[in-house]
Order: sequence, then structure tokens, then C-alpha cells
Amino acid sequence: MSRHRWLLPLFVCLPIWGCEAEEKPDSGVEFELKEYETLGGGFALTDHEGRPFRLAQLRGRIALLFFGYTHCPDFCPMTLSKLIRAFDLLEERREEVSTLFVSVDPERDGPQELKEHLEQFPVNGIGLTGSATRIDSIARRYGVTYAKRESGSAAGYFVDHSTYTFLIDQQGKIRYIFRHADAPELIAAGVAKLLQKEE
Amino acid sequence: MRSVFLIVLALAGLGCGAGDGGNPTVDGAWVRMVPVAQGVTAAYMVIENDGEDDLVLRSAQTPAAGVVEIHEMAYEADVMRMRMIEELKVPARGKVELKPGGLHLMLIDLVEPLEVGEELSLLLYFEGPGQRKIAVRVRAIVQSAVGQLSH
Repeated sequence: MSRHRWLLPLFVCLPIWGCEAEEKPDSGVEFELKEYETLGGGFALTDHEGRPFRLAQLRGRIALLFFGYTHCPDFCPMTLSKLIRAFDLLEERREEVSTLFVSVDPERDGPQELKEHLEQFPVNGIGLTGSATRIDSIARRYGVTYAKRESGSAAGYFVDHSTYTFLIDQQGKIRYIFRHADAPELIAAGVAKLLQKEE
Repeated sequence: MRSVFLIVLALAGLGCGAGDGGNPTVDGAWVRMVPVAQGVTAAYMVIENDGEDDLVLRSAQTPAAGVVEIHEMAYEADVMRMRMIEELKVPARGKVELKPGGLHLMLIDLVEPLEVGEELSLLLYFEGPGQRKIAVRVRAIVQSAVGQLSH
């Protein structure tokens, strides 16, 4: 079922992509997937509904994973806004993609906070939190650093964190690491490449 | 003596067409819509200084939030660091752009739910010219995503 459900939208979209490629040969749609031997892997956390979540349960779907926190007023909404744009570019194929938001601030981000935060972003978002020890271990395995820092701000502490967005394939492997300056077009192209590959 | 000097300076300013009382000017101010429970959001704008002297933004205030702070973002080795700054200099005959991923005013302890399209009133306190009252439009996340692309 899940192997065939996406075929129809793909057929609808391919001619459109073909036309765009003709008009704009340099639109940057060409995308090269990568392999990361030592990074990534499965993990278990709690989702924004308070349910247990394992990366393995997404098998067959594509995920865009990043680390952030809900009290981050600028960078994290900016990343999510960019993902909204990437999802728009994916059109019907967006249904094959989930956004995973792993909190680096488990002290303030419980399932409820994550749920309210992600409700604003139409990106099939799954908010994830857990014990600090567990998040530390996941961050380390994904090559992400984060640090709580007293700020002097009325908003309390800040959390400095890596700005990577990981493209995770249908088998749970990292296939590209987007950086904060990467455009939504590149993110959409990466996802489209994984969808093509599945074909 | 000092006041005479200031009057002369002011007249000189008028002569140049710079002392029209509009300085500084603030354009395109908006704030990102968030659920009130989140408690914090960011406001963006362009502050222009067409005067001959640097201007300093010291603080800001709005009835919509308990506290407003000036924040700056920096990226080092792909790590995002946010820090609070005490003041923001707007250079003479220059401008400062507060935009996503850079400088912003952080609104902390939101008082009530924001509504897309509504305008918040915000007071900016500049050293020298004093306060400027501006309207800041609340934009939905999706609108702000589109807004970023047009920059």
C-alpha cells in the first residue's frame, strides 16, 4: 500500500517538473545524496502527544530532523518557516515526509509545549522530547552540539545549538545535512530525490 | 552657551533638510504570530537614521508583552548563538535592519493572544530624539515564510 500510494502524485508532478527544468535549466534541482558512516541512527523519545516514539516507526517515510526549542523566538521558527516553503514546493508528495523537532530544552519543552508550537507549522511535525541524558546521547550521535547558557534575559536561559537539518531516508539513514543558509528549494530537491530513488 | 550651540546645530540640521523631526524613521515593522502559551516572539523592522549623528536605541516597550529586549544572533561553526545586547547603534545616514536570523526585538511574557493582521503599538526609546511610537503588524508564520523569500 505505502509503496504505491505516492505513485499517482508522482505521475502528476513529473510533467510539471519536466517543464520547469526546460524553462530554468539551472534551477538547482539536481541533488546528490550522501552517505554518513558514523552519524545518525535510531532513537526512542516521547512525542508531542505524550506517546513513545521510535525513529524506526517512520520506516518507508522520509524525515527532516532538526534540534531546537520552543523558547527560541527567531532561529527555530525561521527553520520551520523554511520547511513550510519546502513542503509547498513538494505539493502532494509532502504527505510522504515528516518533520522531526527534537527539543534541546527538555526542561521547558514537554509534549504540550511542543504540540502548541508545532500546530502553527503545516509541516507534518512531530515534536520530540525526553530525558536530558537521552537527548544528549542522540545529539552526540548526530554530531549536534547544544549548551544551556544563562543570558541575563527576562526570558531565562538560552540554548545555543547546531543549526543542521538532517534529511533522513526511508530506511532511517541520514542522506544529507542541510545548513542554515540552504534554501527551501534545496531541501525540496533532496526530498524529491529520495522519492525518485524509491521508484 | 551649550544651549546656543545646540540651537545652532539644530538650525544647521534644518538647513540640510535633515532635521524634519521624522528622524529616525521605522519601516516595515512586524512581529511573528505565536500561541500566547509560548510566551515569547520576535519583532523585526528597518530603522533608518538620516541625521548627521549616530543614534542609539536604548530600549523598547509594548502593552502586548511584559518585557522587550534587543537580541542579536550569531552563527559560529553552524551553531546558533543568541545574546541580549544593551543598545543598538543606528549609524548616521545609515540604517539597521532587524530581520529573521539577525537582530530582533524579543517580546517576552506576552500578555494576551496575538491575532494575525492586528497592530501592536511599540515604543522605541532613542538616546537623544527620545521616544518613537510605531505600529507592528502581526504576521502568521506562513506569511512570514513568504516574507523571507521576498528579501
